[in-house]
Amino acid sequence: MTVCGQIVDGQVGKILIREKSGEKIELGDLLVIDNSKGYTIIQIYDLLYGSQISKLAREQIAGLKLEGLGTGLEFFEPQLRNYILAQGKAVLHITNKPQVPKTLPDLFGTVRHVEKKDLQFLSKPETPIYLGKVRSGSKIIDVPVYLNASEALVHHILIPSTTGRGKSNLVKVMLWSILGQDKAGVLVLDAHDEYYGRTGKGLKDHPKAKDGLLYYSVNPLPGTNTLVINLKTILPDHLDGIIQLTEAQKQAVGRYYAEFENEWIENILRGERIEGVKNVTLGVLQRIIKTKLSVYLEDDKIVCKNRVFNNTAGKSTIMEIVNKLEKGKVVIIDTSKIGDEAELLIGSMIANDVFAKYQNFKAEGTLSEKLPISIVIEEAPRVLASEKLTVGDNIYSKIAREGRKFKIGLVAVTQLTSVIPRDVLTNINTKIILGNEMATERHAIIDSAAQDLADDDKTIASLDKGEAIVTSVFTKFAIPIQIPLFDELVEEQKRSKEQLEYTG
Amino acid sequence: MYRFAHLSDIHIGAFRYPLLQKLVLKAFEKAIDVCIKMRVDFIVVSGDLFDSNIPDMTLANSAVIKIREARDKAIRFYVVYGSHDFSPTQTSIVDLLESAGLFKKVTKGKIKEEGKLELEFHTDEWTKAKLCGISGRRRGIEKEYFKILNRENLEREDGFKIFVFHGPISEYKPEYLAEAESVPLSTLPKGFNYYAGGHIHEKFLGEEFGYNIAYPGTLFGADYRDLEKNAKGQERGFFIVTFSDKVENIEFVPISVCNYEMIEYDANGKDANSVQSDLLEIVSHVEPADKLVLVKVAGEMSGGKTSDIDFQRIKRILKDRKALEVLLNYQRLTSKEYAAIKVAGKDIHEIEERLFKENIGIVKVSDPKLKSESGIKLSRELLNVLKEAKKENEAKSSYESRIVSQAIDTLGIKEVF
Repeated sequence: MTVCGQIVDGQVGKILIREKSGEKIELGDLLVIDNSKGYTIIQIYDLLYGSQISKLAREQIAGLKLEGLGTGLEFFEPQLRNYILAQGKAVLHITNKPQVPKTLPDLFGTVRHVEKKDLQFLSKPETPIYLGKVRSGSKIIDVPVYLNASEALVHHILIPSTTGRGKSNLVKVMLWSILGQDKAGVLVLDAHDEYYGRTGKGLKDHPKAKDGLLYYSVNPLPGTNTLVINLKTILPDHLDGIIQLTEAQKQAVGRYYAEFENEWIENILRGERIEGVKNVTLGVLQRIIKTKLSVYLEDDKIVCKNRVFNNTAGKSTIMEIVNKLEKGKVVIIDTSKIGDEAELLIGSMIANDVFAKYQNFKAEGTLSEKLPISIVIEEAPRVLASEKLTVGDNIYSKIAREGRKFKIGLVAVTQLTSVIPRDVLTNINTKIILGNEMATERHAIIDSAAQDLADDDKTIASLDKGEAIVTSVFTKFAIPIQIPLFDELVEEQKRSKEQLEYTG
Repeated sequence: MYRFAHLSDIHIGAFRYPLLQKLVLKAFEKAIDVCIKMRVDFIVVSGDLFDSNIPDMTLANSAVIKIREARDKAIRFYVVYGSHDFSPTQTSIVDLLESAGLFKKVTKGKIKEEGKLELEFHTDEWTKAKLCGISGRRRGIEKEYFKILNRENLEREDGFKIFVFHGPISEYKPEYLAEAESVPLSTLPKGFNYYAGGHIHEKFLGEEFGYNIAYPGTLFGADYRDLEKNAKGQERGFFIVTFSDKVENIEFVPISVCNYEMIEYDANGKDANSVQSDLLEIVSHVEPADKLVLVKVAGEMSGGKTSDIDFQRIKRILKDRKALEVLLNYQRLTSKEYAAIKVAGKDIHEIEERLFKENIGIVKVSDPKLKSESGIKLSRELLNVLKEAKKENEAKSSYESRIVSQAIDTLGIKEVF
């Protein structure tokens, strides 16, 4: 046990530790104070200089040195006179079990760096989502950090970060561990086609991808599914909060649906006149369908420019996706080439179906037997921002607020936490915070964190690529982690080939 | 110009009722008669010609006579197994007919060392059409074959090419098969002139994604749901494809073997007595003579038991008035007073599936193969084995040992014995 410092002052949430000369205490370091009954873990959130020499004298000494008058000038026993003071907070007290500290550690108590044995309480849950290893400052401790999928997913997860800090890498790492467990269904609306691994490494390289992963794309790879949705499966409700409609337009859509049922879109495009819908409204609806969904009429045929919507094929696509999610599969939908509205609409169709189904399960009393389902949505403010929700709820906000009751959750990835309403943020019980240089965003994250991160502003600002803090109602404290590089994770696992026998 | 016929899902041997069995056979015979009359060069059967791997021999014999008749006119038969006429443990009648030289299975191939499935083309001597394909399987194992299929080799081959398969294509899967195993289009080799599909019981042509996918559907039907669709106007038949070096024309040839009368009754909110009298009233107004009559009663009654309704009386009345056959369906009829029917489904397979799903959790076992999805799958397979009836003239002991042996194979516990 190497002592790295000693408590010299402080109060609750602000413990001052003098750094031992030759030891280095970093921002974000986890330090341990042992006592007879157990030990306390302290997390460092600030560093400052300390000196036995007065400020005036220090300035004078520096001046002498800088101006060439202090040749041979040295501190007598410098390790005693100048030092670093680390400011930290006790995050956990471990006796028989981890507890929130309610007492201060002993003054003058010696402090050491955290070790693997100190973190044994971070056990592997039954349905683990691997996030990375515990990080103390910039040092990686060989202790894996997991969330329990069955709890964390339905209580929603927020991944806030500015660009380039490793959001996608983190989501891929999380999905890698979920895939193949068949314990939670995850729908990924992949706006950048980066998860499956079309060109490089991806979830397709997972040993259990064959049975556990489905990939839908308008440009499918051999063996994968075509993303095709039958127009007849789109219901007016699916547009709620996804495509902005005026009251008159909403009523017109309702009338078309009442008149033509599942052929309402086709009949709007064909310009079929019905009572109570003005020509001008019909024209606007036609334009909305053309521009937002890229569906239009050409030579009397329904054509979809982005190839997603179809009048013949894709009748069971949504149902199949929902079924697979129910069975605990990971479903990736490549939405990179289909536009925002189409992406959100597809997500909305699936989410609506899942929601309705799980509501029924709850009513039947069978929900407890069902697997949780989570939806990964990138750039979450597209559907969760305050301004979007002022015109009415959509299925995503509904899931954020009520989904937990029905075992449905969101994994919301965002650069802008501050635009998401507070009541939605409060419902998101796990946040995996990556580096963020924007103060307003950091404050929004800190304000809604599961643990008190009021002092961690600097720590969050200093998070490097791949470093994160996990704050969750399901973790004992805000755990600093180092997320592994996804590509390296893939390398670790070699695919084992099964031998198949062919009988024609 | 050449012609071939594309038939699928005939299901000879399906149904319990002898009359329905005869109608299935009649549909097949009619189709072959058209093929002979139209002088097709060959017939592609994309699976499930028979309803089981060992069908009723009387029915099979009649079918073989018809096949022989076509063969005598130099019409070749190219087939793949379907999910019904394949057995993982036993020889199928399809093999028998191939050995007899009546059929040619176009599924020849092998898995190479690198793990790729290499299929071989069979070239029809007269038309030079090249055929290859993958059979259907009960457990959806064909999906695995599609995954490892060496598509490039097949795509490189020139000439008029037909790919024969039995199973749903994900992109074209109807809603009622949403839970069924399927293969995505992207697993098919590209550039074939015609993709002869089976398993889907409704006719379908799809070419949106650059594949000429064709499902002729069933000729008559194999279960109540099919017959209900027939009664509601679903056209049944098969395709005749005219081709040179490409497909010139695809014609759907309708086949009809009987007339239908569909009686649908919503019993919601009515008591058993009202349902009974309403049904008697409805029945008195229909003309059932020489028709296949389907009676479907569904809904939740406000009172009485479902057994209070004398469905057999309704059946007798219709039969007395010369109905060909009367099929009753009251699986979705329940009563607030007596919830006698706990599990409902569109067909027997769905009901079985639901029962397994609902009860698999109750069985406490440690082997993961016997739990959840794999447990349900295994239960289904085992039930299919146990459902097999004793063949005529089959000794009881042979029957028992056949079933036991199949069950052992299905459970994968051969080594235990």
